[in-house]
Amino acid sequence: MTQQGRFHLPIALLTACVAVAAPALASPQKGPAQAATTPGGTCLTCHLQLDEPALKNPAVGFQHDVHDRPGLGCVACHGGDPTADDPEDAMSAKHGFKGAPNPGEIPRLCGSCHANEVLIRKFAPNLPTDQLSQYLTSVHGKLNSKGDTKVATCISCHGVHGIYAANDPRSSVYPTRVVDTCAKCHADAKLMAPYGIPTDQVAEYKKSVHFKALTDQNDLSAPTCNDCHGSHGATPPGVSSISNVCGTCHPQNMDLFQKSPHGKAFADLGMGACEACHGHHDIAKPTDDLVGLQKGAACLQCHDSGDPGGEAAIAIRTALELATDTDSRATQEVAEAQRKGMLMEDADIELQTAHEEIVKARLQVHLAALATVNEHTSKSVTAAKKALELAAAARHEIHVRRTGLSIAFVFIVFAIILLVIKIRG
Amino acid sequence: MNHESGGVRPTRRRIIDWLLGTAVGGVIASIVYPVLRYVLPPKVAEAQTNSVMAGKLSQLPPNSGHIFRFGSKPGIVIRTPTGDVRAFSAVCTHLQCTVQYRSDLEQIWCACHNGHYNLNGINVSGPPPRPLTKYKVAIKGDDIWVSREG
Repeated sequence: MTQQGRFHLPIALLTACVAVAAPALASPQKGPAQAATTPGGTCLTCHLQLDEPALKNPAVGFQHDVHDRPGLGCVACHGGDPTADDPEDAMSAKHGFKGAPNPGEIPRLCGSCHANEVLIRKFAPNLPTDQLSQYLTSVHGKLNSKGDTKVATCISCHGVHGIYAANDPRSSVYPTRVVDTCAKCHADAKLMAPYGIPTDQVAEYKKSVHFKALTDQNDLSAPTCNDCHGSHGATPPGVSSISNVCGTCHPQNMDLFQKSPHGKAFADLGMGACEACHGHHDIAKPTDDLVGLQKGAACLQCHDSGDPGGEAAIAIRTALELATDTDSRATQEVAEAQRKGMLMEDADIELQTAHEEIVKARLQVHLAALATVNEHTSKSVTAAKKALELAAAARHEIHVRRTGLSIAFVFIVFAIILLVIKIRG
Repeated sequence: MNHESGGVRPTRRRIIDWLLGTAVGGVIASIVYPVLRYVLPPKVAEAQTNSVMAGKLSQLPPNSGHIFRFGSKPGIVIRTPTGDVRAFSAVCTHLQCTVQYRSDLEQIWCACHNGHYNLNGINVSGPPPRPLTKYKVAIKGDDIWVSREG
């Protein structure tokens, strides 16, 4: 959006000097195919020698642009003749020189190649060609079609004159950079004011478990803005589709929720699903504190201690607490025994089962069925108790060993004293 | 005096000898007991191992898997549809649940959050952030031996 303004000047200046290009897109005989034979051409030759940054930088950037590799030159977007030595001739109207495309033209200009399956197949057979059609369905695309020059177009996200492939870590649309790319506009309160869009999403998202996974753990499968909102077809997910968006990565949680009494009730009330308990952009790591009727619990939004749902929430919370407390105590005691040098592999296996059953019980919370949660928490408690028994046996073993060592030590000292007495006698 | 002291000395010597014998017996017992404990099999499973027999090849048909115990953690040995035998840690890299082999998917699968791993143990779908740890496999006769890599 605002970045377009930043690009207008260099593009215009480049255009004004380049004058080299033939009508690449306007004229069929001098399209991208021809540009491929003369990448950059005299455009780069001249512009790289200029001192003015606004004229030189686009040429410098284009040298590592992904479009330079297949041999597409400046002419592909700006027109003109890249073989002409005379700048005025190169950037003349007779060679189809277009200059800087205006924001309204950019999607279709990029789409003239990127929506052309036959052409794209030559350069990148696996590259999708539906970006333009998706863009035209997006909020950005619809506003752009209505003549709004401030909305995002291709270059707002991908950049211009120095575009990297989307899977290149330097690209502004690489997963770890997407949020900052979107933030350039969506965190700008002044820019967003006419659209009535809040600007706290980026700050909120950066507090989320998803952002932490993406940045701290470099887990590229963790969602960023475009994973939920779409990239080229970017649009806010509606209330009815949010759970489907979450469900693309959390399918079991979604299935269980839809089978639960909440699934139908939420739909009847027109309520969102996942976000009702987990929030939107600032999705925190879920804890058992979300369940129950204590302060801060999600269930409290709809249930009270008097109703069956509220009672079930309390019971589920109690079952989870019992399992996690027992597991935590067992983990601590097993670790203590290991610290004292005991082999606790059997106990580790039991702890593994105890942890796993808690994970399953937490998943079953989405079904909101006490019996199913209880089934898993009971298995967890049983396994944790076995681990506790093994830890107790290990403690006993440590006690026996220490007592035995003390007795042996007494015998040894006593024998030495008696030997000394006997030798002296 | 000599009579008195001669009567005391043997008694005192006998007491010292008896005490000394008891003490030496105790010392010997404190040596023998740990030796016996070492010889007798322990109740607790033995120390972490770098190699374990994971199962029998004849009991692992193509397109199947089997969970085995590898030290304090579960492992999974799979036989691919083409007959290769591979072994991995069975601990899901998402929330440490135990994974299993799904013959219908021809993939390793975690029931907790629907995590999928391919036949090389690489996470291909769902929440697992990393591949499963791979183990070395050696077939000796009908036995499948699994050991840690590196």
